[in-house]
Amino acid sequence: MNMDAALQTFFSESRELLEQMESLLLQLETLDEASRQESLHGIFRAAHTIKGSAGMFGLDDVVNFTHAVESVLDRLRNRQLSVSDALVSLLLQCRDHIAQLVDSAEAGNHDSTIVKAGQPLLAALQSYLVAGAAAETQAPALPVSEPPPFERLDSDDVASSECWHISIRFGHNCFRDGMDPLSFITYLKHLGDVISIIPLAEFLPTVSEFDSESCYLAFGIQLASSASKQEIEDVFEFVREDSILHIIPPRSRLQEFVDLIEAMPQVDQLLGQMLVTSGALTENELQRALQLQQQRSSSHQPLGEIISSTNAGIQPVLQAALDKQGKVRDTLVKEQKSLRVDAEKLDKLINLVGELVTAGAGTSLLADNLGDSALNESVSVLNSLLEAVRDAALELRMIPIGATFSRFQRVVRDIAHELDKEIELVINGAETELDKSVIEKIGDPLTHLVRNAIDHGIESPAVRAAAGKAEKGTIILNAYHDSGNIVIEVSDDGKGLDPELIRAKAIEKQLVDENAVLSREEILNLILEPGFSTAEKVSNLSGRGVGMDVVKRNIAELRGRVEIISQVGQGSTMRIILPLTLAIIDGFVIGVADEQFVVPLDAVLECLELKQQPDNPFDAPYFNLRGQVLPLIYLRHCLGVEGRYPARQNVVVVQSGGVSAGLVVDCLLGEFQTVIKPLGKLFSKVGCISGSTILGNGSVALILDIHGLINTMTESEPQLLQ
Amino acid sequence: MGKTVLIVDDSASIRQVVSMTLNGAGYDTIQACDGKDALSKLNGNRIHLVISDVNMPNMDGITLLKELKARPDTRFTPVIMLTTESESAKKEEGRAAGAKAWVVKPFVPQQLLAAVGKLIMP
Amino acid sequence: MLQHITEAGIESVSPQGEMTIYHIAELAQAFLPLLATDALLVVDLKEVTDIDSSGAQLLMLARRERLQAGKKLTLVNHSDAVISLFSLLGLLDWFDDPVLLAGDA
Repeated sequence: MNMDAALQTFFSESRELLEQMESLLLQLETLDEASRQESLHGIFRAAHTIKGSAGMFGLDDVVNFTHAVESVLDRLRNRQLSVSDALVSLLLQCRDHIAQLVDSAEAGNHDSTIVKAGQPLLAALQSYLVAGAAAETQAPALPVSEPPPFERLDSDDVASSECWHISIRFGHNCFRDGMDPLSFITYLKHLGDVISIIPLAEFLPTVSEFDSESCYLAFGIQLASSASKQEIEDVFEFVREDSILHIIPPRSRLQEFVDLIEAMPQVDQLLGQMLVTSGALTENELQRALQLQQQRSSSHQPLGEIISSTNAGIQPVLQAALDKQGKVRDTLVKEQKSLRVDAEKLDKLINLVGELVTAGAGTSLLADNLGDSALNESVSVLNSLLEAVRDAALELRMIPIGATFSRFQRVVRDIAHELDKEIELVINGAETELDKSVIEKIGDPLTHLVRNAIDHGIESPAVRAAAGKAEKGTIILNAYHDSGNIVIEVSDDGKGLDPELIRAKAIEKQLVDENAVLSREEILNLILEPGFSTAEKVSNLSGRGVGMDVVKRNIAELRGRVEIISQVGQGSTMRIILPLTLAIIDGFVIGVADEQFVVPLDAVLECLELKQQPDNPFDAPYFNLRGQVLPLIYLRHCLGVEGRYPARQNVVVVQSGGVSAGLVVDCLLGEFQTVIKPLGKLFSKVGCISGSTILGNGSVALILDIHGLINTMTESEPQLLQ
Repeated sequence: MGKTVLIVDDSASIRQVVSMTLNGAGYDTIQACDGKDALSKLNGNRIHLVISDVNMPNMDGITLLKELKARPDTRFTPVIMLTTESESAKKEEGRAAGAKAWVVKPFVPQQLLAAVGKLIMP
Repeated sequence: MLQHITEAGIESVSPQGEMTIYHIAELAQAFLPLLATDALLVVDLKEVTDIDSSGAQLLMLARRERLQAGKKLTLVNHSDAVISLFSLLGLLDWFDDPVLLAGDA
């Protein structure tokens, strides 16, 4: 008998089956339930057999088409589909098409027009298969893998020292299942040379427990082979389930796996998947390790540990995979470490936390009034938690300024190079955190300041050398927290600002009157005015006079201010002072008549009782504070509060921007966490009020802007504050 | 002494091809067209391996497997079940009956030969 | 199934025919009680026409049992079937009995 004879058998057999199929299909609708089911089984079997046989002869067209028919028939016989006229017609057409395909195969031609004619039928069949079964249909069961690589039988390219180590302990039922370990071991020779085989008697039980039909055998095998780990595992596929199998690759293979893993794309992959892809681990081994991991889920043992404990010798590959994963993850983590949250959501949260804080304060007040100690204690715990929540919520918006600072390394290097200057940038306080929205807005002003420092501040090396300075200039970026504010400084050790020059320029530009009397500070501040430029010649970097005023405006928008400190020949420092947070502050509540006000606690230095009438009570009153002149601000007058005078008044000593003043108030009401509610646009011009807040008892209090308040006073009594 | 393989399948062409392949590799073969036929052909013959289709008329492969496991002369005989992946329910049933070796249809003769080789030597 | 001769302080056991899974239970039942003997135990394998892993396993158990009891078990006259199986499973070295290989004779 030869293959042709078998093929002839197939053709005649197929025709028989197809005829059978036809007659069964034709009577299908007339049958009762039981016999219909029997017929359906018959029809399925016919299609099934045709498909199976056709596969053996490599008649892929028949296999592909029949597979789809079989899938529908399978659903029919499992009652997932019901018999209908339309479906029977379709199946009859399909039967005819199979017959055509078989005829075509017998005629020995692969006729693509016939295959094409089957497409509409396939599409129609597809409609009877639900989504779940679709995948199966799309991937028809073709003879997938190529025949085992028998050519490797005599492969000699593996050095005998380079061996796979296989350890297998067969399952107890191995003999009963008709499996003889011998046959698998013998079969290994198809893959390579069995260098050594060592039987292991450790698992043999005592004579009394011994069941001669159970298998207790285990072997350690050295195999010289160029086969893959999967191929070796496949040898044991029929006993795999009940056996304990370990396959340890040769050392050269390990290197190969390591290389493969290292060459994998930079994509985050599961550890197990990487090992399987590289060939170091088979799919089965991975499944087992995962199962083990699940069983031991209580101990949270990492998969890598399990794999290394169950797969001896895999360590180097495992390490490579872990390293790779680590590397990939590292880059990913850096990207994922920060979570993008809609700023609005964050604001909402902070707002709510603010309300919470307010409500907490209210509760605290009530508890105080009740005088119940247990309640008080509970409320105080609650409040400390609230404080922590507030801080945490605010911190969500805080990011370190470091990233913004380090951007300037490049700016400084490039510009210095362009101007032939030697400049070193020193960064201090990179870890200082500030509100994200502030950081976003601070970038541009900072850039202006740094550019100015390089361009106008630092002299050329020759000039510096002549002045006895180091040829290399230094620019320092510094950030730190200072009494509720954040301070950012840009300092240079350049030539400094010359007040005379500035004054002359300002007069020339008609920014000030020739005869104006200006303090040194005021003169320096002129450079922040629009239309001012000190550069003797306009460079393409700065000095077009559009820089500093923009800086000033940007900072003002952040409720901050700019200070200039400069010594001719020594250098300048531009100091930006910004409020630390924009939402919640620790406040100090004071009372004037029936009104309550909040002073930012950071600005409060001390509180005193106003025991005597101040000096110079009516025109620019002041107070002798331990020998220092302390200007007094009568809030009552300043803010126009009316009402009865108390018996005693208090002085709150406040400080802002290095200037101290005493606020004269009626009573001191203590600390209070204050949620700043911005004032409406209407009040934006009110200098000494920065916002409002709701107190614990529900009443509204205005928040005093100490800086603005002092400034207001300064305007009216400048000489006192000098 | 060649080893004897009993091939059970309702498709004559499959039987023929399997038989040819195994003969070529040095095995002796006996053919049966279904489970009942297979049992009737066991008499007196020492069978080293059974290759059986799952889906057959008269007696299917799973029933045959159970019968073989119950007979003293075949209880330790290895059985290769031929199945298609659309018969996963059958596979579970077969597993429960003690079928360990499965070959998925359609297969090329070499694949089957490899499976046989793992279980018995020629 | 199993011939058993006691002679001059030597217990000689000779399995007959197949030492395969089909016969192993019966064989074990007859053979294992003999392991308790204080005499020198010799297993003559010349009549073994076929042997599989279950047969080898029985012999392994016997050898180990005897060793643990401080007694000897010697395999002699390995038939071709036995030699073939032993060499495939690495049992020639494991048992380490002198084997007369065909062709050497």
